Amino acid sequence: MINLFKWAFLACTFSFLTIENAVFAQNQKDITLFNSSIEKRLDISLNKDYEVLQTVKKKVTVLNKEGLKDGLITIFYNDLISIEDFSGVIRDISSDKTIDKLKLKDLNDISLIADYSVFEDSRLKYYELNAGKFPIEIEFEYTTKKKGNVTFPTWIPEGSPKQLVKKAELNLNYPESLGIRYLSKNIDQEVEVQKSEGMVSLHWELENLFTLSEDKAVEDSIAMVKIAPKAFSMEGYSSNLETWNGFGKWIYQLNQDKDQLPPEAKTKIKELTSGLETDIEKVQVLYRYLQENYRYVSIQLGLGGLMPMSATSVYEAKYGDCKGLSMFMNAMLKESGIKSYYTLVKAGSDEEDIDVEFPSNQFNHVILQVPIAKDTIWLECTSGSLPAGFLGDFTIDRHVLVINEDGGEIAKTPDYQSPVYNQIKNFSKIELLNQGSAKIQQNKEMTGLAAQKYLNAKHMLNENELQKHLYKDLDFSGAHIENYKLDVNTEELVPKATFFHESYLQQFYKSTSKRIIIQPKFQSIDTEDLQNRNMIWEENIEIFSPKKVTLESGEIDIDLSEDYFDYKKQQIFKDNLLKIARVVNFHFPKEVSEETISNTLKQIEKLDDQPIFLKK
Amino acid sequence: MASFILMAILFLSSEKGIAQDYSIKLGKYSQEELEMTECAFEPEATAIVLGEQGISFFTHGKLITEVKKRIKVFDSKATDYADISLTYYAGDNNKTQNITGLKAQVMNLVNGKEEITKLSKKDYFETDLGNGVKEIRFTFPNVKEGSIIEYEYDHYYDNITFLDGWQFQNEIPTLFSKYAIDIPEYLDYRFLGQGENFVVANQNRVQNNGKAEWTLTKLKSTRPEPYMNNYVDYLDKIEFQLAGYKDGNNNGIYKSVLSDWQKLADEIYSIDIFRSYFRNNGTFKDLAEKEIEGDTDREKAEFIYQMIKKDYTLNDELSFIPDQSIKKLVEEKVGSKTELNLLLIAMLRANGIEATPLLISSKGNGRSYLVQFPFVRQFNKLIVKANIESQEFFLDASNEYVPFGYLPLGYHVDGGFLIQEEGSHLTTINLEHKSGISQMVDISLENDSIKFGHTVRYIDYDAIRFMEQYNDIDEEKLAGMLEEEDIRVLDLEVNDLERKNNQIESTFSVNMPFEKTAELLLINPIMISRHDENPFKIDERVFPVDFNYVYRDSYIANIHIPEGYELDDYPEPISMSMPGGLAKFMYMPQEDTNNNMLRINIRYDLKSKLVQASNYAELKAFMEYMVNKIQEPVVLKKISS
Repeated sequence: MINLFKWAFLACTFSFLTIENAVFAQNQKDITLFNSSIEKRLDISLNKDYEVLQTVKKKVTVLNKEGLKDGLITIFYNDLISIEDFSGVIRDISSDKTIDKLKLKDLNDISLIADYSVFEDSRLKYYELNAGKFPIEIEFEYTTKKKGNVTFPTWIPEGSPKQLVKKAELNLNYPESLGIRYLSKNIDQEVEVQKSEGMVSLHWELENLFTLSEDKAVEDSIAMVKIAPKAFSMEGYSSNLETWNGFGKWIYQLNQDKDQLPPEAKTKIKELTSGLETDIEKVQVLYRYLQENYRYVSIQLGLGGLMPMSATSVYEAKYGDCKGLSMFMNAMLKESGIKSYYTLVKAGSDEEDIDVEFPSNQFNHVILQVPIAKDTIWLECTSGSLPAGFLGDFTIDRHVLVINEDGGEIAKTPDYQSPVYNQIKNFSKIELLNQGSAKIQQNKEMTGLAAQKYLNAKHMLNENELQKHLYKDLDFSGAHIENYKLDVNTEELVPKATFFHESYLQQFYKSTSKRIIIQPKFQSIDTEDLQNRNMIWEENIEIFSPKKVTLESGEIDIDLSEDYFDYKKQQIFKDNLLKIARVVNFHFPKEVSEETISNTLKQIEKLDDQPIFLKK
Repeated sequence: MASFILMAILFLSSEKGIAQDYSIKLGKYSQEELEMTECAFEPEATAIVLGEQGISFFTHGKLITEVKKRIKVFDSKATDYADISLTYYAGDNNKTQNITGLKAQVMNLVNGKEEITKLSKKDYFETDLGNGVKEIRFTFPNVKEGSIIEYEYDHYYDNITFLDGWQFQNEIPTLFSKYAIDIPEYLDYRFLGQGENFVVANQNRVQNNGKAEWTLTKLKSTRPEPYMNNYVDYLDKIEFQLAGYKDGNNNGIYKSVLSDWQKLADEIYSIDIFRSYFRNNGTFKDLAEKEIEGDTDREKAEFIYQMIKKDYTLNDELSFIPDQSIKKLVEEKVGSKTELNLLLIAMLRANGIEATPLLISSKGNGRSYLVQFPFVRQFNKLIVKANIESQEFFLDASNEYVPFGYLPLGYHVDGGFLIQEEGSHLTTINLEHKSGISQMVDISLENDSIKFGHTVRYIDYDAIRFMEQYNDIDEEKLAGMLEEEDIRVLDLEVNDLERKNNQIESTFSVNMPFEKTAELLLINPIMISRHDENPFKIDERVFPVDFNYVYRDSYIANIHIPEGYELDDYPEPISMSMPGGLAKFMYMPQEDTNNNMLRINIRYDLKSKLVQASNYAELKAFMEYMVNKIQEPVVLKKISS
């Protein structure tokens, strides 16, 4: 299957969910308060060589079948992280008998390479606890060593749902000369500090924590300690992370000289931009050239995947990942005399914004900032479908780190709140045929973020797949598309998609002996379509009956103004022709919950769904 | 003499046909390949496999398959097909299989000149996926419209009892796919082909002195479709199993391998761990002494079945050969599906009940039918056949919601291989059931709302499905599922006391407010139905639609006309069926003026669990009509006073 929204991640997202789900997809009806209890301790030590040693100790008592998943051992490693030692033991608590002793070789070993990646060095050792008799105890301890201290693990004392955390402990040791910073969230306990012989030790300890809810907690409410370095170094590249600027300087070092282009590339760029006057024109032409000739390939090499491919190698291979493609675009612009800046972002349409107050590597993607005369534009270099200067919902409205000669500074990507970025206009002409069927001519016009789905579809799918996509998206009952035309316009800064189709609908209305009953079918919109909170959604429908009918349910004229939306609907009938004109204008506030959006949509559905009775 | 000539001619003509057209040499392109801009038999395709071939031969007791593949990119949309992964099973010893001699290159026509970029060693990335599986990944540079990408490698196999053979189709259309194998005269293999195109190609296969060759041409792309999670069962492919060999150490005497079903069974019984489940050993004696409740054999069998499900934990081992002995299983109480089923057999036997292991090919295992000779790789699951009180039962003790006497839906196949100490054979699987959904809805006006009193009964496989999906249903969840505004669900009771008959009855009422002032009152009597919407949206289909089991649904709605209202209008009756009687639908409204009510009777029977792609258009239309008919409303009107 082709994934419509396949995007470029810089680093691998670390998730065990699939493993857990596959193995433990079982359900138990009996309600038990706890499935397991745990005592855990995490020791993190930074040494003078910028190495981070991490020792994890856990003792898990599993009380029932459901709790077995809490006995899962996972150790993540790659070319920078090595596993120093491991030992484990499984005990039958009732008889105090040792059932099994675990060594490193007893653990399974798999690659965590993403499906779309060509190369990525991330591996996982894991062990699944299996038992038929309870309670059972698994106790294990391991140490990993990481070269370089750019990132530290985050400490989350809470356990999994229905797990009792008897004790959770964090010890953080570091040389005073290197320093360390931390950000504790939702923990009201003071940290204990000890100093001796140039080393500092921080200690947190919490007891008796539990979550009974099975629902995933919101990040804001989870207790955690985030850790970041002051002085840091990795494979000879050093800087200080107390400020964003320090991190920027470090990235700038990694990118040094990556923007060189071979002579034939320079000739090509000259050829492409000759005769163009404005910077924006040049950006558009070069971006189009990038989109049409270079593709996204994920190859995570160099410094744990943080160092970009050089512009020259991207030019030669005609592919790159987000870092490489951004670097190459940056080099092309530089060649044409336009300055642009490599920018780190935490991408993802439902990702929370970074902690701006806590400089650290919180990013997973790279885009490009181009300040031009009047305005600043942003380029998503891994997209083959977006217009130059338009960011998808993957990277809008969030803080980013822009890298420049002096280091880096925090900036914000645009939020695209104005109506021009969020519009849907549909016009439908429907003729009623026999036995519930109808013929429809529909023109759908989507602007800005609303056009994204169609831009991607047009870009990625072949005719056949596109048709399947349209059927799914139209969601008409028993539709047969007779002909269609999908145009996307990416010439302007704001994209637009126009979709026209003529279709036969096997079941459009319901018929009783005396009446025709119509439940008008508007485009289905869900919370995902409203992630940007604002939208103007217009539907115009004309329904014509060749046979004589009268309108039984009456004409309508509604004009509503609610907290989150304005709603207008007019329904008039004349000479067997019913005209419906309806406009919704959504205006949700910034901190709106998904539930509120979903409830609002239901409210609108109710207003829309008033059945129309036509008497035969 | 005459036949000899005929053979010679056949040989010549086929050689001519095949040797010239269908072969790949890296860097040598035909004019046709260079000029091609679209796939003639699938014009919407954005890329095509111009050709692929696998040539297998034996050397030093190993099999080597030389693989070559050539793809042309028509559209920049298809550049993803330039990301290649080659997966192979290296095994625990890291030498079960291996891939060597990888070469890859991409060709672009630049001003009419062929420009070739070759990949080098540093472009190939090997990844260890764990459990002995390895993968080589690479991608091609300079891929654009018109690029031809191609690669070749040698795939080594240590094990020659079972050969992987060849799968002919791809995710994109394939112009030709060729497989050839050269079998030395001291080896004897059974061929096992599958798929519509393969059957045709097999008739034209070239065969000579142990050399055989199959070429399939113009293969359409293959993709998953709804109601068919097992499309792989219908792909074109060929596999091999060793049937015999000439023993070089013993004057070249022919020794057969797995030549009949009993030999295969003997082979399985010869595995010590497997045999431990059938021996009269200590564990068996312990099991025999275990107290089993129940007066009849049937009751005892059910007791044992439930006990295993309750006391044992499933691990993720998938093989149909057990990994641990019965002794270890009973001690640790953790085992694979196979082991739990073997334990079930042991316990049934210990209690004097006849039970036998049965191998099947579950859905999605790549087989749409069983092969009539002892081809062991067609099977992937071990279940249990028991004879209790002269009745056949098919059992699987490893699935939580599947009650005694039923099989999980993925196991609904036509037959299996019965492994017995003697007289092993293929047997058909007959699953007797009366699946369906029966519901009664009683609709009346109560105070300010319309009350829909529901009694919904799920029978047999529909009961299992209900338990799998809705075992945690409550009033709030049910209200959410009904997708109606402002309704309230009350008095929900899910009654599985009748689990013995494998029926689940759920009773509840739905209260829906209504506008007292409105002239017309619109009632949609059916809220719960098998299909809320037509699952078939697109126009065409390649593979059959698989419903897993047949069923018979019956919905009855009684609408009591409230005081002050009269029945104004209701849907018209209809009765329809699909061609060949594959499915039937009936909608019968009936006015009962004596009781001042309207009764609607709806029947929906699915009579064939598999509907062929050729009947897809009718099925789609049938479903469409039915789904909409069920949603048609009854109209009540205020009596004007």
